[in-house]
Amino acid sequence: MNLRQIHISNPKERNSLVGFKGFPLVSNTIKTDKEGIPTINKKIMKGVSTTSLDGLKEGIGDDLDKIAESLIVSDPEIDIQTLGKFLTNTPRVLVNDSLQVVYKVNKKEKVFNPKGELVEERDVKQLFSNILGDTPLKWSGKLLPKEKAFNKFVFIRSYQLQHDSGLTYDFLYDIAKNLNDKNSLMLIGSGAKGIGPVIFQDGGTPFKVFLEGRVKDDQYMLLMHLSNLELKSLNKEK
Amino acid sequence: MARELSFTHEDTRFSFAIEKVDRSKLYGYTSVETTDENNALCSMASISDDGLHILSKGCVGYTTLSEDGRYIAAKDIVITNKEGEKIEKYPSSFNEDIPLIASTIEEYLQLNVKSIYELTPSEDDVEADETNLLDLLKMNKVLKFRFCYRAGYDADDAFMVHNNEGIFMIIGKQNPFEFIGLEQNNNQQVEEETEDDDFDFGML
Repeated sequence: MNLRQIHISNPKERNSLVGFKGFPLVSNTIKTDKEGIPTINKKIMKGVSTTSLDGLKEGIGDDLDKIAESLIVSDPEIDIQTLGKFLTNTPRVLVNDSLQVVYKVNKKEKVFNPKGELVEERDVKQLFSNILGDTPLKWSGKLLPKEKAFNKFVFIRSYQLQHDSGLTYDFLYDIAKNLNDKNSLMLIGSGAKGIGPVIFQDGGTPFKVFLEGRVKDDQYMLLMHLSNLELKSLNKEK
Repeated sequence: MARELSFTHEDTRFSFAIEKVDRSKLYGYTSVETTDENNALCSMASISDDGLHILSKGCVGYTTLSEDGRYIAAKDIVITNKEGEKIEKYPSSFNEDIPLIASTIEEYLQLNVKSIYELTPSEDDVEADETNLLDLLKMNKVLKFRFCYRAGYDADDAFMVHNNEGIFMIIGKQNPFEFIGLEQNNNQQVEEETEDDDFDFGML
């Protein structure tokens, strides 16, 4: 199994590419038929744009009573040729209000405050991944005791860092031991001070990343906790 | 009115209403608006495999089939665990008492988070419930329980923590992280040793 890679440095500012893996949120259950044979989920076509409500409005008009009457009389929502057809790849496209594919678009980013009020309109910010750049993610030097950090931030996702050679084993084991001994988390990040956001894929969400290390004999567990949220009360914010 | 959960620990019961906490309610949010050349709003759709149909919102669905491709109605689907044993549905956590178990910070930190809720004490006995639960949280720091928002076959892992902002429950699935040693990695290939240690200059 090939792991995703990330470029990080240690407290001595030595850097290395190391692997990391996570576990997706998956169900622990299996669906079977009555004989206990696992079932298959299939994506199907329930309709097409012309048989959807917006499509019917295009043909019949916006009057919902007229649309309802037409559903009873002539079943315009059912297209025998397409209903239930299996789908595999369904590329995403942009459509206008006439449900026609649009090829030239303008994009604008709207910023809303917590009350849902529009506060700014701006050009769309393109965010690029920064975990594999020439400059490694740096140790910020900001140690947070686990006891103080665990209920201050919400660690949305966690990944485990893994070595792929004896050299990276030493590199990661030392980091884990260092943090284990201090019983603390370390903020790592982009920028000269290592406090900038970390973006795992192009267009992805920026996160603060905290390293947590545990060791047991010559084994280690070095975890990367991602956070973009403080544990705060909504009632106090109001 | 917010729905209430009833937690138990030993002989004590605490009732709390829950309110979902999400990023947009704390920090706001951004959304990207796309318009065409005539400045009309655009929306996302899909196109079918053959490229002949535009599939707007509501046009794509999912169905369950048997191994040989026959349609299976929802009532005929059997849910099993990974070992193939039939399992029973968990009731919704709103319909039963939830026992709280002491946990650790380390166990909590292995959670992949799905949702966060803030707890507000029941109006019936605000002070008693909050004080008792806070005492318990001060003693244990992290409490663990099983959570099912709706009745279902797959319960979530849930933790309760508190800080000076309030009491929160964090719902998700725990990552099965394990300690790894030098020889345990996914990429390193270890060549098998051969009995013959003699150099064979003929192969050079």
